[in-house]
Amino acid sequence: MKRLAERTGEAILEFLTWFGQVTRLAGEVVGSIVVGRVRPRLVLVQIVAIGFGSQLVVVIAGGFTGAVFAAQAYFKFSELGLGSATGPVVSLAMCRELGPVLAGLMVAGRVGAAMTAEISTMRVSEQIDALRSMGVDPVDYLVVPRAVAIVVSMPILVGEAIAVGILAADVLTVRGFGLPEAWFWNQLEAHTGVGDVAVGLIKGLVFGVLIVLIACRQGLTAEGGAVGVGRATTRAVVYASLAILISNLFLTLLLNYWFPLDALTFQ
Amino acid sequence: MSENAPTSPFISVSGLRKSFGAHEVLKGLDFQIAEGETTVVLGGSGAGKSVLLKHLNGLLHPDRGSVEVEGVDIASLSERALGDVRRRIGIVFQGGALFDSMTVGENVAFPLIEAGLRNVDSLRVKVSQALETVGLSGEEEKLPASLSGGMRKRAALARAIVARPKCLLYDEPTAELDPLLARTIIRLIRRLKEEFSLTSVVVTHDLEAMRAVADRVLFLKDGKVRFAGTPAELKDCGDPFVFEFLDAGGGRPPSESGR
Repeated sequence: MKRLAERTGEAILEFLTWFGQVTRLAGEVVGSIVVGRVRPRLVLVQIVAIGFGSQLVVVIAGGFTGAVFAAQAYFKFSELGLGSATGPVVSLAMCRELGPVLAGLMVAGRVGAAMTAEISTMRVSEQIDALRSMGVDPVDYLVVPRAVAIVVSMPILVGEAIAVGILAADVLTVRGFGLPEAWFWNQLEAHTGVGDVAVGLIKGLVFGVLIVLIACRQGLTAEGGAVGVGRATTRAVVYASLAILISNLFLTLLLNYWFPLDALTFQ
Repeated sequence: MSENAPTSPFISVSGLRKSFGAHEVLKGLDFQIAEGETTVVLGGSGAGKSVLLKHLNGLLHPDRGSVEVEGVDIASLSERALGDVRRRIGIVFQGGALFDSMTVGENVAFPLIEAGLRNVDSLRVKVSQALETVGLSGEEEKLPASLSGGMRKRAALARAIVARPKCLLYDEPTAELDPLLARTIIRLIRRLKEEFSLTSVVVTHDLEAMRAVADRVLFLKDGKVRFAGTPAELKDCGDPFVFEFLDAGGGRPPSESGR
């Protein structure tokens, strides 16, 4: 019993230390951006790596999830004579939840892992120390460009996931299952507002920042050669994915206050 | 060698202590490094040599004690304020620590660009001069991954000297190199000292390197200075542990000539 209490205490302490480090890194990034220590060339390189390079996976994830969600919704709704509800249900789900969460998880897996692997390799091979020894702050050089790039890229990636998800739903239900196109699009437009899209984009932006902070923190504190790099990378993806899923609940509750989800009413 | 008597210390360390967790690595070090001298820090694995080296340019901060560079205590400086100190003290890491994503030329140009040099022509000239000094002319376009261990060390040396620091720290410069390559690096360390009047600190357990470059020797054991003096004094210090180390490493105590 005592041992259990000790372990729980250690785990809590470890989490608080980790949380403190991530928060401190966030503060350093904001500080660097505020005083203008942003390197535009590195930001562009990262936008290409993070934003441009992630498009395919995000679009595929968004497309197939939109289609499969539409299929399930259509099967049940058409049974009840509510086939026209498929459009709004898919679009609201894609905008508010599936688009940002899927894009976030995909970017965490693809970009977060790459970031941690690169930075932790730099750390264990003393390249971070080499940067510092030349008077270059590793946060300015490695973290700030990635943070700025992901803030620019994530809303665009989420937008793409949402759009392709809805288009895939249209292809499957309208062209595949024969749902009248007007039903799908009219109801979708009637029940999807700017607020719904805003929720998705804001969530995507927050998830992006979480991914960069967690991935870079894991990389900058990695220790122990190749094993340390592997461990840091795995943890970065797991922690970033969990952070996305957990923060999503709170973001949903918070954002629903500013952008409330109206009840669906069909004419 | 030691006939050039030290005048003002370039680096002065006093009461330096450092722990990692419960393990105390440095247990109160006091020594000085004179300007223009080459100090070799000898000692076995785990003696705290590399940890000590990283305190000399502020990469690590002491738990207690002070490290003064040209009279300024760097232990209390912020990371940003340390930038100026670090530009005066270059470091060559054990594995080279070249940036993987950049070519050799970009690596060598990096300190100059960070120092504000933007003119492409003068960058090119300085980079090629630095590479020529270390015998790597024409290797600008190669990536670090395609270089041998010796070439990587020489490229790292070129990067460390390109911005003309006053002092150079070497972390195990001959480790993992074959004897011929090790000798090349040793010659280079001596040449750099003579050409640029560099103050140097060389961390090593390679006795041949010590004999060839040392003006002074600092022998560390278990985080403490076991011996400090000239190579000639080291030979006659009478410490059984030091003697055993020298005997095991070189088969004989260091020669007085140091070459």
